[in-house]
Amino acid sequence: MNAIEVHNLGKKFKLFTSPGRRFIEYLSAGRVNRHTDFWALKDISFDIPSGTTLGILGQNGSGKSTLLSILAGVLYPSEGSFNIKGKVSAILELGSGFHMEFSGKDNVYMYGSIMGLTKLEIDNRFDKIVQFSELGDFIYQPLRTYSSGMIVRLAFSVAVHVNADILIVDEALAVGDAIFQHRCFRKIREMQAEGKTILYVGHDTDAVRNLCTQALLLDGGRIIERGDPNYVVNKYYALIADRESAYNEGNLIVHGEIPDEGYETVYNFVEFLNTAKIISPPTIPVREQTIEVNSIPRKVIFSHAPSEIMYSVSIEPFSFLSFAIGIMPGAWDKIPQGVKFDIEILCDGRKVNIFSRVLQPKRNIGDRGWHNFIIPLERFSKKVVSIVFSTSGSGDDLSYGWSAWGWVTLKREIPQPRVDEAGETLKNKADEINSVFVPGKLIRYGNKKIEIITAVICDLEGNPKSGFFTNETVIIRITIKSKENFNQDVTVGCSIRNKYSVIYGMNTYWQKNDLKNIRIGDIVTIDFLCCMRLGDGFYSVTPAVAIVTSNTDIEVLDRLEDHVLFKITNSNTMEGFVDLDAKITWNIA
Amino acid sequence: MTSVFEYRGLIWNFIKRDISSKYVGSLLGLYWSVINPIITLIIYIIVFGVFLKVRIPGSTSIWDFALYFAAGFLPWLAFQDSVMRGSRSIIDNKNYIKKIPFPSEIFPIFITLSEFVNLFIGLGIYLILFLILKGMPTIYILILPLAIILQLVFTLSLAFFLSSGAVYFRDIPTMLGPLFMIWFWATPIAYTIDLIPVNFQWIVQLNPAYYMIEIYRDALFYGKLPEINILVPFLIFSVVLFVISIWFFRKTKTGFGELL
Repeated sequence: MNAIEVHNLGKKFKLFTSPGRRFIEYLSAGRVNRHTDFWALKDISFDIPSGTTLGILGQNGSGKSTLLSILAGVLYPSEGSFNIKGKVSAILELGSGFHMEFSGKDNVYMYGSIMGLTKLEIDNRFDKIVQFSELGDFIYQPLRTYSSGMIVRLAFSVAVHVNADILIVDEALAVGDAIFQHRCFRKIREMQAEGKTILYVGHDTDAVRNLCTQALLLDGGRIIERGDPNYVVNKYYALIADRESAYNEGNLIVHGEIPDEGYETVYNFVEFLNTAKIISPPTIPVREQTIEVNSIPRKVIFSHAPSEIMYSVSIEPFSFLSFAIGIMPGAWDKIPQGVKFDIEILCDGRKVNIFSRVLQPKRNIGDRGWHNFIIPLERFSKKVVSIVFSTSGSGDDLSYGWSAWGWVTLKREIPQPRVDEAGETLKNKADEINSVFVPGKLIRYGNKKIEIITAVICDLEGNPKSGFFTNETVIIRITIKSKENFNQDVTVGCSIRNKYSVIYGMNTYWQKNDLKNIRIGDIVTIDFLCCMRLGDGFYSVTPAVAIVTSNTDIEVLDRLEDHVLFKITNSNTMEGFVDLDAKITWNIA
Repeated sequence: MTSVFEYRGLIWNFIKRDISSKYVGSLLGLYWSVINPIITLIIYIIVFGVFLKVRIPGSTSIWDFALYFAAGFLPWLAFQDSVMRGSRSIIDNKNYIKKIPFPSEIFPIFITLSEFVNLFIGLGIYLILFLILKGMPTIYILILPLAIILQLVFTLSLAFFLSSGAVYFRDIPTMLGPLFMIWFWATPIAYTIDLIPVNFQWIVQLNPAYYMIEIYRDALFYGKLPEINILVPFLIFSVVLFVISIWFFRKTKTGFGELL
């Protein structure tokens, strides 16, 4: 027998950008359309046999809570139907029916009667509830004197003692201390043994693995997997990893050229957005927004396509237009055709297109992230021009085209004296290379008796690069400068990491090739020639200089965490981080 | 309504909790429910009875006017308070409606019932006033329960309409303040119907609150049976409105979960 049957369930929310629009729609009795539809759930069908413990997994916004709210009877489905046999006790939010001024006992009676129990039934269970909640005499105190954990314990105790046939638990077990959690799980097992049906929703995959007999994975309001909990949990992890990498790619990568200190900002377009003339359909917003790139907040102009933003500015000599373009990761799947970014300049009655680029992040991984550009405006110098930033697209669902113009500024080059000292020049060179990626928060430690001046990764010709292919041979070149005379051996090493762990680390100590006889002022270049047996993805190099007496006794002189970033591209001929270069043979017996 | 009846224990718990929570922590507690209407009553009697010298027809006594006014004003006050609070009953209890599955009809019902405590306090004040000024009330005081039930039905209907409407238009509870002020002055409570020019009297005839108040005044002040052309139209009107309001509430409550 099925305890719960769900057929083609769907839930549509109408999204309004303002209450006024909702009001207009009501007034017109459906003749005017001012909303966008959002399907929180679509085509949900499943049966749950009695006695099943079903775990529902999914990322935030996947529709889990909407589904539970519908099954609990709080929300009404927009389409489809469901059928529940038996009494339901739902814990959608622990303690939501509690009143702080009243005693725990009053609240138990209140909560119990909300759950549909009579006074007599609560009388009979009261002692058990108090015992389970371990509140003791606190039960006679007003709830405002309780700690949050106590409130949760009380709420859970009442909910499990309602004696319902179906228990719906929404992320409730994650609270409470370890002992109470333990007791909750035991209680749930007892209920399982009694043949109750339990619906458990949460991010606690261990709970799903251990408690549930079946699991369901929701994504984007649809069931994408259903079956054995272990299998579904693995799928859930895969989903999260996908999102994680999409997030990283979307927010951490910065391509192209970024102006250094050699430029000064003359005009920040983002700050003057309110003075710009914006041409876009009224339903399409154009606004300023702050996003984080590598944990650094940066201002962008957020403009759904199609839109045109026009500024009037005067161009000084030696001016450059510096900007980035990018599409928010959440929109990638929604706009297969991509978004076209154009910049046109109206000058002396003529229109000149100075920039045009289509980003198709769904199809083209290289189009993800932020793309920086610096465009010289020399030919417009000493003129007042109109600059038009426009976005357009060819996809059908442009409302999702979350495209943005990043940190748009007008720059002017300032001549900068370069220090002629060898080390400083090298440092500048290193900055130039590293600026291909915006470095994150620089973590550097060590006593600096020897300093790392540069660390780069280059091809065999010695040209610094930041992108390589799997199995390409590269040189990691570390240049150090000593500030003291050393009698001990000096060890130089580097390790290669991805965001999860160290992939490989090597140093001169292990290879018995330590630097000897280092004098003050010495500049030494150390090359690590290595073959990049790495899979597709982003990696970092952490260079370090140290005095190593043994594997555990290390005096760090200088160490730059994740100093160099590089990308390995693989043409989809393997998976994972490491190319183990498998030689496959086969024969038919 | 059968499912709501099953929840009568819960409604009763809610009412108890509502009333006690209102007075938990306030120093004079329940006394404010007595003091506030008395102060308002005195102000109106001074302004209308003493300064403006309003008298009821066939009497020159200010005390007759005072009792006439109190017989209409005290039920009105309870009516106004329960409709105003009832209109917020759904949006104020969104914690329950979004999280716990049970019939949301309970909220306008229990708020209205709990606010009816004020009516009983008001009627108590009136009867004490009456005993002091006039002595024992007549046998027609027995009509009072009918007046109360009719008021309850009328108030509940408005609470159903407005509490559900407020979910869709959040401005409704705010709009009610000025609307009730207009309604109060459009109803002959602080003055008598014969003070209204003849060509405006039809407005009063269309005002359900006038009928409601008139029944109270017959029972409490005039001591006579309500006229048929007052009682019957109001009875039919209240019952029909009540049925429509429940239908409306049922129709619209499917949206509560997502709009709150």
